[in-house]
Amino acid sequence: MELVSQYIITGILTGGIYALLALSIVLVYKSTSVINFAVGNMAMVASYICWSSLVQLEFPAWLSIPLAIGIAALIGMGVERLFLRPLIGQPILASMMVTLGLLLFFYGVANLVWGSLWHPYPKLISVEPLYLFGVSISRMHLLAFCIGLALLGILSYFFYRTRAGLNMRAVAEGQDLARSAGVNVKRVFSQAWALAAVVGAIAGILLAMITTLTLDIGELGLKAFPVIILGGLDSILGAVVGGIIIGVLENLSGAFLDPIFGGGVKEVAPYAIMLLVLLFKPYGLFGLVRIERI
Amino acid sequence: MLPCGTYNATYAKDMAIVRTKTQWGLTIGGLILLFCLPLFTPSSILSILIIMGITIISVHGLNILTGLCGQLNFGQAAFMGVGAYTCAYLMIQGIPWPVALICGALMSGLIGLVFGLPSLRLKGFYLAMATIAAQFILSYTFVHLTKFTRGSLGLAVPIVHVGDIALKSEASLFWLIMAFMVIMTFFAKNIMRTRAGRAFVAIRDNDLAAEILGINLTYYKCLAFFVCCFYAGVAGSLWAFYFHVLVPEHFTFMDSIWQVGMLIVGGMGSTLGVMLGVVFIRAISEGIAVLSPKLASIFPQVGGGMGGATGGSFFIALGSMLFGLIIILFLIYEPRGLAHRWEIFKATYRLRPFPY
Repeated sequence: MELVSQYIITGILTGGIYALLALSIVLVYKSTSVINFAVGNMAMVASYICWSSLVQLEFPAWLSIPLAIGIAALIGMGVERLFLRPLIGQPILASMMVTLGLLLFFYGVANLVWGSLWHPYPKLISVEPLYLFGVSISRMHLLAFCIGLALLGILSYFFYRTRAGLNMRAVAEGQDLARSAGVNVKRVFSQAWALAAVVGAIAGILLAMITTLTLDIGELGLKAFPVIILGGLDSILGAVVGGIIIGVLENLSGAFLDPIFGGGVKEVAPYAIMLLVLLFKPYGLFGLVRIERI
Repeated sequence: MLPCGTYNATYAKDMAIVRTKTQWGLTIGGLILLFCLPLFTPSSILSILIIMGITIISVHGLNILTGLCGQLNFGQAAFMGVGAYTCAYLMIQGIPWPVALICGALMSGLIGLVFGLPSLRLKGFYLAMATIAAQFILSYTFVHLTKFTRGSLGLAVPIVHVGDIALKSEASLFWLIMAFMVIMTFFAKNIMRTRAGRAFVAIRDNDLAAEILGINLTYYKCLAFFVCCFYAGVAGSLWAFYFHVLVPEHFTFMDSIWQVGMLIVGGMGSTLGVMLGVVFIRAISEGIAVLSPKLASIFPQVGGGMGGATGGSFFIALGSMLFGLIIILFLIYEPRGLAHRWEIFKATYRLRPFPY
């Protein structure tokens, strides 16, 4: 029983990071209806930048992390301006393939600049696990989870209480309508990408601190897709709830099914869950059901 | 546009693909040249051409599904893997290779059908996610179903025999694989001209409207997935013949993206585009493979500066960076691909010296 609760707790905390990555995808999708497949690799580049500034340039953490996040935001805006704005109005395959191209591009850039070897990340907080009711909790995971919740709060505030957030919701509702109401749609697009890149960068840095810094972080980013499918493609709450559910199910299936299938179930369980969700409830738990008319 | 002096006097002429004597000459001459290549080409070039041939078959399948029917598939490499492993397993059991190849292709088609079933309800992004799930689940199966695939240890494939001749050399395999490539291209070109092909195009353009016209959506979408994965299975079986050892790393998500990218660069919905795209991307990738050891020695600090970059890692890094950029640039500046450029060139050539 204790073991099970251990798995569940670890799952919830891992889910926090998936939720952050999923949040990054949802933010872009909500306002620009582009699916960003490159989210993991953009996060990876941000965490490499943070590593370079911490270890190679020996900047303190309070400077490096905001620096990396700032550069990530610039990259996000640049990507939107250079590669996605020319494709407004094109079929969905085009924008999906562009972000898949970006995935390859950022993978190549990171490989070229930082190499394919793994780098240990400096531990900014203690690695001693906390013990709560006999369940051990990694401080890093807990921090990541708390940051995830905090970001959820900040984003909710942003979306429902500020003008820029209102603009973004308006654009998500309908681009032409928003434009005729005086919203600068292009600026909203670039804000959405910057915001998504910031959330992704935070997720990437946390992920690198929890594990190590390798090129595999980009591949981990793909696990955010089962999360958004489960939670609903355009729901911020869905991203968080989905992240936690996927995290827990992944850990439990890893624990109970590994002996049957011979290991590694953890890697594939989210995708199996995604396939089931697609078959039975394709728009997810909180997603908007779209009805098509000719 | 037709060449000068060519008229559609009969329906047969209107339907024909090869129209003029020059075209017949070029077609036959090209085929003869293709099959004479092993006589005077070094085996390093032959191996590149063989891989191009196998990839062309697989991308033809993708073209039928994505280019004609409009359904997305980001798991083509995994379906190739299904064909390859099935074919190899049957050959190890002592089943002759033509039977094994057909079984491999059918198996791949059936698995594709299973994963294509969501296409009845899903579209666009959601369907893409279902095929990505298929890719990861199948990759996992290749690694962990060790009873059949031997996982990452690699599965050794018996040598193919035609009659009493063992196809061991590069040249003999080149003939076999190119023969398949020509046959599969012939079928791919002609599928577009059949009832099924026209139904695919109708579904691509608007599936609700197609259904109202009386096209059976369920049947044709499933058929498109089956044909696509059948092609992947044939390509996978040929891959098994050529490489002799199968490891799961041959059939990754990245390879699937590469195949869709080749389709886009070549031009969707065009048989010629598939060939142009595959040859173009493979040629660039081989060019980088030749250059990268030299580049790595010129820029030793690249690759993290930790022990210096090696040719291999440089190749992977530069290759994926350039390929990503090429896909993006094509999508922005020439979404109809190289095939469209070729059409423009042909029209200009036929109209010369008039501008239009």
